Amino acid sequence: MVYLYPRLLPAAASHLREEYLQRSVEYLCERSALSHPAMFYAATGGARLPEQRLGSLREAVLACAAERGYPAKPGRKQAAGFDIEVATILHRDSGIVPAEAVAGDLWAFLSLVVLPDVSLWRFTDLHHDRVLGTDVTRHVFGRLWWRAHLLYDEDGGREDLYASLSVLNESAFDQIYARRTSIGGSPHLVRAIVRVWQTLDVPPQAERKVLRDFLIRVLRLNAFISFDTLPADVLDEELMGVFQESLSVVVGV
Amino acid sequence: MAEWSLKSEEGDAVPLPAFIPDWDFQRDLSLETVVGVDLDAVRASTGLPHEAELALSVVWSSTGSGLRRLADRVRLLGGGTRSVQLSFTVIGRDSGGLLSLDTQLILAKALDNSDPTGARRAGSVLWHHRAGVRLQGDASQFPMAVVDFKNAGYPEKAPWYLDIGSNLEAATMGAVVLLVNSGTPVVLNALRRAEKASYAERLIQSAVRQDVVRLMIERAVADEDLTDASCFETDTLGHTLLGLLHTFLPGTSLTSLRMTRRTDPALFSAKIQHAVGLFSRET
Repeated sequence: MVYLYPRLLPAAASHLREEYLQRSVEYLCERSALSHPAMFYAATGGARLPEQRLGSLREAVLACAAERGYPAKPGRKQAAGFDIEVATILHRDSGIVPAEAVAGDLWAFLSLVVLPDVSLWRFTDLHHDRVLGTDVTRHVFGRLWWRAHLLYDEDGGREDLYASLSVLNESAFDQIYARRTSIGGSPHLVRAIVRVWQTLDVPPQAERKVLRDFLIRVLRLNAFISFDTLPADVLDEELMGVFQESLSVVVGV
Repeated sequence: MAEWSLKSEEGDAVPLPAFIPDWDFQRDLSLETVVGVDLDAVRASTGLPHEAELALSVVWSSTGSGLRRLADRVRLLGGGTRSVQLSFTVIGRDSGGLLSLDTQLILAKALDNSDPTGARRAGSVLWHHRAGVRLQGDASQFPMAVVDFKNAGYPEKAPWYLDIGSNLEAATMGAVVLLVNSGTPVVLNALRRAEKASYAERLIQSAVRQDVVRLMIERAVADEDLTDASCFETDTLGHTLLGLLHTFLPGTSLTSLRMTRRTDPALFSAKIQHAVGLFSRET
């Protein structure tokens, strides 16, 4: 069964964000709720999510934060670990479907009504892209669901279906996801990029430049090559060739 | 290339329309087409040798989900003329918005092509055709959810139940939902079929529409805090209820409606039937 998630009207979301800007994590923990007067749902497409499931989701995400020092501010490593674990939980357990996951209002409800304390703990400035529905690719939780959706092993060949989440760091994945229409919309292509990236020996200081050069080359090729139609082994071979060109130009090997 | 066909819920294949207004993401779409390929002509015009492996594929992409996926792929070897059938199902929850179908003839494997202008990289597109279907309109839809009334504790044989919240300041899309009983498929199917509904189904739609309007007006009339001068923000329940009154019963004050409701409930009901046009568009 498809469950429809509650969404938050944009005006109410902006109002809540303003109200929460100068507050503490502890205060927002008290304000967390499973419903809001300005909540609404997609018109059709499934049954409304029972509140109990929303409560379980809050508990699971909160436990991830607590393991990493919540309510004390997380370090970089703790934040990265939280992101990977929550990406898995959101994608595996929430039941959110892609057609709903594009809706910023859904993510605004999660970040400002259900988990406002965790949102503030993770991004202390509550930047509007992080908590409103303005940019799902930057949203505190929305970006994690999409990262998991693009990277999980849907064929079920691996023991840990979400193992690929730890291959790329956030800024590297952002480079891919920023090219959403051309590259980031194709799970087949994104998974292949990560598969090939894992096999490369790129000097850490050159990683960002190599990936950037590689993505530019893929974009150029995308105009006359259909990467989506290639079987995984053929696609990996093609991408390996492109990576070698980038390594040669950027690192000189 | 033959035009795309859509398999209907009854199993018939119909030409893929430009717009499916009653689609929602619980509905998967089964699509098929046939493409004729003259392999010798393709090789001659693209500078590819006889041993080059080709493939005919279709990739769907959706503006609703932002996703793109390979839907079907058929390998093509040798020469002669081939008739290739492509068929697949697009899962509703992955889709939405504008669904594009890109049919492509590609070079399936990389090769050393002696022709400097010929394709050599795997995946090179030799021919391309795009079709599309719009799955959702821009108009907002009435919130509706399908529920098994027997298990959910509603009267088991009731086909629908309009759930209206008590807070007039709440968002309408969250405060109102039409629950439709999965145990009464005749009504459920009538609501799902929208513009493709049969005559009998259109009558059912009309009855539901009238009942929804009546219940919402009853809700407004029953709330003594609501007056003709009440002010609410756009998209709130209070705003919607007042808008409904002004649309269907223009020039009638809430006070006079309350009086009619109390003294002559049958007339009150008939006025709403008249205002909504119960069965009038169907006869």
